[in-house]
Order: sequence, then C-alpha cells, then structure tokens
Amino acid sequence: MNNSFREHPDESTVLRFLDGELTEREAAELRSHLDGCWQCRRNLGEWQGTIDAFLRLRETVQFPADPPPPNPWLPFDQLYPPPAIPRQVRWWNLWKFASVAAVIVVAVFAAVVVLRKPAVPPTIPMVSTPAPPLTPPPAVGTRSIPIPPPSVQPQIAAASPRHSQVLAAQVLHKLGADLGEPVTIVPSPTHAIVRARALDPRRRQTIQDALAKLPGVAFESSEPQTVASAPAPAPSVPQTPRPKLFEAKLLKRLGSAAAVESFANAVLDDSDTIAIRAHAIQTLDTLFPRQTQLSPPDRAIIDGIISSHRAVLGRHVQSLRARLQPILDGPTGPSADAASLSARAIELDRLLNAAFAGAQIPLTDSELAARIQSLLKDLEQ
Amino acid sequence: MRRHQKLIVPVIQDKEIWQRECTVSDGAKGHADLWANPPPDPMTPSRSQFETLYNERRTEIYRYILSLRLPAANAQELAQEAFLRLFQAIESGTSIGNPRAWLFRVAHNLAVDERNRQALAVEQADSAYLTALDLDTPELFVIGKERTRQLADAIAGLSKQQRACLHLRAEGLRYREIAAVLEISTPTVGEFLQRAMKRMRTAIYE
Repeated sequence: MNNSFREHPDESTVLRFLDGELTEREAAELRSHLDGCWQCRRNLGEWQGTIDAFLRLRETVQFPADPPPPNPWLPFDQLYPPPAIPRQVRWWNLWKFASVAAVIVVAVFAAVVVLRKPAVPPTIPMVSTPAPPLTPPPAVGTRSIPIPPPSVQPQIAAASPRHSQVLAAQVLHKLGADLGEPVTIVPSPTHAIVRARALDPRRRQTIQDALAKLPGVAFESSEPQTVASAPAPAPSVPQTPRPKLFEAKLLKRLGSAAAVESFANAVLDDSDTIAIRAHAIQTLDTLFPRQTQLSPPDRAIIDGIISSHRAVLGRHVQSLRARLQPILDGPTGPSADAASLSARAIELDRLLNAAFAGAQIPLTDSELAARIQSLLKDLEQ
Repeated sequence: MRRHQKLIVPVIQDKEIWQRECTVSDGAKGHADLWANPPPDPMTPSRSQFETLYNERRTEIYRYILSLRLPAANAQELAQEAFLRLFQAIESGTSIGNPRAWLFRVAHNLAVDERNRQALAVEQADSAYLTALDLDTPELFVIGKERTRQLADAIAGLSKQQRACLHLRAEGLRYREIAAVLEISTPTVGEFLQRAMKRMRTAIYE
C-alpha cells in the first residue's frame, strides 16, 4: 500500500490537514492513512468535534452576548467623504477655455484665408462657428479645429457603438471584471452588449449598476446552468503526481517542506496573474484591433488599460524570473515566437503546475526547465 | 498545494475583488509580510467597492476588537478608524494585497494601543469574560452543559495570542494571514492553534 504515514500522524499534521495547510501530497498521504486507520479517524473526528464546539460556543453564546455597537455606524459618505471638488468642474472649465481658444483660432485662420483670397465676400469669417456651449459641436459639414471630445460624452457615445464598447471596457477594467471573470463585451452594430455568465448575484449587481450609467451599453446575464464552456478540469485525482521538478533542490535551499510549499504557491500565484493579464490583453486586442477605427481618446483609453495590464504582467514575470533564477540554471529552450502572449502565459502556467504541483506532462525535467526559461524570456520581452 | 493542472483561461468567481486580484504571496521565506511585499497592482478600487467592503466587513472587525476585550464604544470607533485608514492608504497609492487581513492587523494594533492605554480595567475583564456567560443554551447540549462549561474555562485559560489565533482562524484567515496580523511566524501560528485546540479538546473529550 502506498502509505507514507506508516506510523500515526502527529497532532500538528492532523490539525494542519483540517485547516487545509498541508501540501496536496501530504494531504493525499494522510487521507490514504486515514482510509486504513480507525484510530486516526476517531482522532480526526474529535478534533473536528472540538472545532464544532468552539464555533457553536462562539455563535450561540459569545456573539449574542457581545454588546451591539452603541451608536449607528457612520454612513460611508460621512466616514469617508468624497473629494470636495468634483473633477468634472475642472474639465468644464478646461472646455470653456478650449472653446474660446477654438473660436479665436478659427477666426484667425478664417481671417488669413480671407486676406489671401480677397475675391470671397467677407461674410464667412465673421460668422465663424459660435463657441460651442460646453459640448463639442456636432460634426456637420464645416471643418472645425480638431478638438478631442471628452471620453465620456453622452451624445457622441449614444451614436457610436465602438465608443460604447470602449466605455464598457473601461468600466469593466475599473471593476476588475476583465481579470478572468466570465464577463465579455460582445460587439453589436448598434450598441455594446456586456454579457455575464454565472456570476455571484452581488457581483452581477455591481457590474450592472456601473454599466447602467453608460449610454449604448446593454447588460445581459445568464444563470450558472452552463458553467461548462470552460475547459473540463483535468482528471487530476486518479493520476499519480509527477515527482515535483525542483523539490529536492528547493528543499536544500529553503530548508523545510513548508518553505518549499510556500515558494511553490508564490510561483503559481505569479503565474496565475500572468495568465490572467495576458488573457485580458489578448481580449482587448481582439475586441479593438489596431486597424479598428477608434477616436484618439478611445484609443488612448484602450491603450491605457492594456498598458496597465502589461505593467502588472511585466512585474510578475520579473518576479517569477527572480524567484526561479537560482534554480533554473541551464540552457534556454527553443523560442515560442509564433505563440501569442496569452498562449505563452497559458503554457507557462501549465508547465509551472507540472514543475511545482506534480501535474503530468510529457517532458523530461531538463526539457521542462528549459522551456520555462524560454517562455519567461519571451514574456519578459 | 492549492492547484493541480489548473486550466487555462482563468475564471474566478465569487470572491471579492482584492482577494481575486491580490492573493498574498509570502515567497520563499515562510513568513508572510503582507505589507513589505504586496502584490504589485496599481488598480485602485472604486468608492462603491470601498463602501461594500465597509458595509460587509465592519461587523467582523468590530467583533474582533470586542474579542480583545475593549468596550463596545471603543471597538466601534476603532473599527471605523481601521476602515478609514485602509481607504486613505489605498487612495494615497499604497498597494495592499489583502485588505481583509490588513484591516484585522490595523484593528489589532489600534486595539492593543487602546488596551495599553486602559490597561488595568481591560486585563481584569479578560479571563472572566467567557466563564461569566450564560451557557444554558439548547444548542450547546450536544456536548453537555458540564463539558461546555469546561470548554469555556479552557478558552478563558488560553493566552491572549492563542485566543487571537483561534478567533482569526474562526473568521476564516489562513495561517500566513494570521501570522501577518499578529506579527508572528506562520509555524508559531500553527503551534498556538495546536495548543489551544489541545486544551479545548481535553476539556470536551477527556
């Protein structure tokens, strides 16, 4: 029988097992021991009973006996008042200034044109477009000085589905809903559709509320009956875990299994973030390809979001490289030029799971290490 | 290990934004310092996220401060203070990986300062607290009234640190998060919890 707990596990191990603090392998070994050991199962039951009793005491005796807050809680706005001067005011002022400047420039330009072409009757320049009343002029026939419209502009937004999609992307980014949640922007010829699937109701409400303020954005959500389109989880349990690649090396460096576990978790956390950010960048690239016609402010918004994802991704790649540098010596594998950013991130995650969580992969240890190296290098670039 | 062959397009649901975004890594050192090395993400949460956090989490922070045996009025003030500090820290650009653990830590420090200020009165209330409670509750009959009394005595006899570990664990914090709140090492958290659990188990089963 494959049971490394030939003797009964000690208290500390059992408690850490109950608290989910054992490594996957340790937990599997303990489970296997428990399968065959009545004594330890009773033991485990008593620890669990102790936890139950403690929680019961807390919930039925201590909490009810706790004095309620003597005063009403401060409303949030009172606890943390919003900034005194709303930013829009300053933008309005800027717009006023820009409008006046625009009128002057148009007038000067027109005057120059008139002076150069004296044949034209001098009526047009004086009728120069009146100062736009705080909103940019509707783009009709006459050429106006190209003043970039403000990014959140109801009139224009309602008319442009692309702009609505950009605004939706901006809001989702602010909410962090572009980081792997099942929320997607679906382009439509008339407006933008944001589709959410199987979201927690509270989260869904938050997203819906934020999007409700946007013109030309419709929100659709469906319930979790089809969580399925995500790839089916790998059949991890019955497989024999691959011997972890760097375990011996790490154990030597870090000194304890707990430190190795913690190191592996940190590596996989980095990898998680990298995969999430790469996916977010790829999604934006697909939704708003370079050749898409976006107004300069809209393009700036999308570029801003992408660069914030890139910044985080870059930092985590660096952090990952720094962590792995000491143990990833040896040659770099072939470069993954053809692969997209997202594909590389995904592959890296898969390989790191193989290296640090014992997942199966048809590569030798040295191939695996070399491939991780090269992917990290690619991603960093 | 949390994951095994985790798959591709990461779909993460039902977690708060920061938890989703900022799982705290304690690196190879085995001791978490959530603030010295927070996950580097400049994303600033919105006011509505602050508000949700405040509305949903203030009771547990209040309860935690109460468990450190401060009067209710102090506990409420300090809980609000902890939230205010969190929001200010984030707005001023501090990157905070795990806001919940951060809140517990700030609340803990504020409470400890306040306790030090009011030292005597609070210390005396400490040990007598649980044992003075009414244990005649039907839900507790599962283990019997006598055992429940022994359990309450056992908890009252724990050290402050052990009780804090228990409380934070019961609030759902992991060992490394508790370690960061109490500024002790992760293995020490394990030891404190083990000792506390052992005393409680003895009270119930022996």
